[in-house]
Amino acid sequence: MATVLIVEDEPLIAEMIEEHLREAGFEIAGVAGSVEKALAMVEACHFEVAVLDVNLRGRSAQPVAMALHARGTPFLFLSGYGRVYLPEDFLTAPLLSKPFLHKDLISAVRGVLQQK
Amino acid sequence: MKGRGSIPLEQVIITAELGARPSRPPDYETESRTLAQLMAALAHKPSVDGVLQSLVESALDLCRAHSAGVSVLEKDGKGDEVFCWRAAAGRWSFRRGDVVRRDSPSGTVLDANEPMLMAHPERHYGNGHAGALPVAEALFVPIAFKGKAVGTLWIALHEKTREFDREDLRLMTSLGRFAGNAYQLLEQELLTAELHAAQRLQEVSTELLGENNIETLYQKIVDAAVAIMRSNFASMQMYYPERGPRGELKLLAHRGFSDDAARAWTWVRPSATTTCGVSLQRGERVIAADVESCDFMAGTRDLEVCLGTGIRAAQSTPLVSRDGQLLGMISTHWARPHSPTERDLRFFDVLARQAADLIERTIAADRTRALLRELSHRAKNILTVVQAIAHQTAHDADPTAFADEFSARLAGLAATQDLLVQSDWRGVELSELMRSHLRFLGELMGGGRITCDGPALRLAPAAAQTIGMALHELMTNAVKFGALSNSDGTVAVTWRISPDGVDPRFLMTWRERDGPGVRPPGRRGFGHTATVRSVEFAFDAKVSLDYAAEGVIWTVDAPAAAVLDEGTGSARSQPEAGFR
Repeated sequence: MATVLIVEDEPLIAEMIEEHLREAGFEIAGVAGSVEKALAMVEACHFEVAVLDVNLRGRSAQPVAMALHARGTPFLFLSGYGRVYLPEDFLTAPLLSKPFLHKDLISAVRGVLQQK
Repeated sequence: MKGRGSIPLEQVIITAELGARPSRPPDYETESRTLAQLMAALAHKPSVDGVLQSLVESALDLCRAHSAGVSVLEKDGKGDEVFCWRAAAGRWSFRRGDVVRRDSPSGTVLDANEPMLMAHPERHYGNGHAGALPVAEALFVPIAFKGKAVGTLWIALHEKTREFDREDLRLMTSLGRFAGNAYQLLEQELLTAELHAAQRLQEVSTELLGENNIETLYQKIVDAAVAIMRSNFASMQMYYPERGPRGELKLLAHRGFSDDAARAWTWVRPSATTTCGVSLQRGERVIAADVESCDFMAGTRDLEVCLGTGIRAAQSTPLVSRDGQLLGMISTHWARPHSPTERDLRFFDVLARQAADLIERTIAADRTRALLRELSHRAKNILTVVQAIAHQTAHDADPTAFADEFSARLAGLAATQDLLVQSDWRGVELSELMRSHLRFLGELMGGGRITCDGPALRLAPAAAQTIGMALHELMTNAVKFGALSNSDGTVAVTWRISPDGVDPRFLMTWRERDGPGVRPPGRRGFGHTATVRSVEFAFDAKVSLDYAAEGVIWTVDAPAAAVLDEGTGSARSQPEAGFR
């Protein structure tokens, strides 16, 4: 099964995502709650797919999206904002709206993995 | 600007010489033919300016003058009486600016209410207004309307190629009478113009009430400005106070600008040498009656842009909200030197009021939109947190206890949300957060069973949520199993910042005493997540939860910057938009 990086600043949500993904058989490479941590993990960790909250402690997740894009790693945005508020250059990226269902999260992660 | 000459007025007025000069015989035939042509023009030409233009051209011709013109008394924007050249021909045909009554030979003629011949009037009045061209002789006749002098008809010789004689005076008197009649028409035309302006204002008001596209409304206002001020160009700008050190103006709509001009003036700073830039600096209306002789524009790039797009005169009026805030600017521009009259400005100021209201409305609508978007985002985020709590609680609790535990946790979450909303999402005092979560334990607090000790600290919004949730779990656990489950256990909550210098830490402790002996729970559930894992994760903190024999001890050691709502952007969870 694929390994996932979770980038989400709200601890309870991060934990729920982690649990959902584990239950579905994914491995978790790590959980990052800030842009800096996420960038460090993108550099250091091995993973095939990432789940990325759009707003990290008031900052845009754009730099993380750019780093993932540069690495060629597929990712899925999570956001309570609509699609028009995705970072520029990523307006058509896969997006899962908050709040979300367990099964939608799993199928969305599988979806971006398949598109790769 | 106006260098007054030193020669006294009496030496300039030489009307008496006319009696002594030889005069050519009266040419009644030419005079009659001219008057007949002018009558026809008056009957058929659509505009008064057209008729007056024919009149001054006839005067130039009949009297073999170098320049001729009609000066009409009007009030300028400040209410001062000025002479406006309603028509001019010959060498001065280009010059249509205004001059204050007391600085003008026409003013002297109106005061005396009789024809006057002057030699080199610039020696007394100065020549700032009319340019460097000398005036060897000028002959003025007053134009009377309903017995009141309203202006002058004049002819001038710039060099002494000939002298004016009594026949010139006779012809001019005759033409002056005609001009008086034409002025009546002018009055009517001004009334028509006022009616037209009032209609335009009425139209704009109606448009603004409708649900029109905002860009369309800006354009309507700009078009109405052109109509009311009888200008060739107009523009409307919005003030962005947050741009640059003193704010900038953004072009919202214009009429008549070249692409170059529209590009050059997309953003205008207070340092700009346009009327709008200077008006922004001074906070009042600025008029440049002739950009070529305007002191602040001399030699600037803005002057080039003006002339490039065909602007010779301009005025800018600040748009101000009803509580005095600068909102923007509305400007009109003319292709020829021009100064707007009091009448024009009276109507224009009503339009400016409407333009200001429109901008105010736009700003309010933008703010509401940003607010709604932010609210929707926060609602979705908190719903996701609720979802996570439900998920975890369902894991831990048996189905019968789920509803109670879930509800209690939602109540804890709501208590923190209340505080955040009260503070406009700017952060929460830690002592306030404690109080709010302890409220349902009121009697325990009152009995001194829970003590709080620590300095005033303002938590960042996200930190308030995380710490609030941890406190809620600690409290619930203490009441169920810990120090607050018997009759004499106590809880001491302390916090501090240490050290004060570089890289300070936020230290917080929850210490239970004299409760029944506690044991660690068999399985780590939501309580552990909320008190340990969440706090560790959110702040990169070191957190310990000890089940010591005398009671639970919870300690947090986190970077203060991550917890407190102070300056550092990383500690803030507030998105850029909204709630400002």
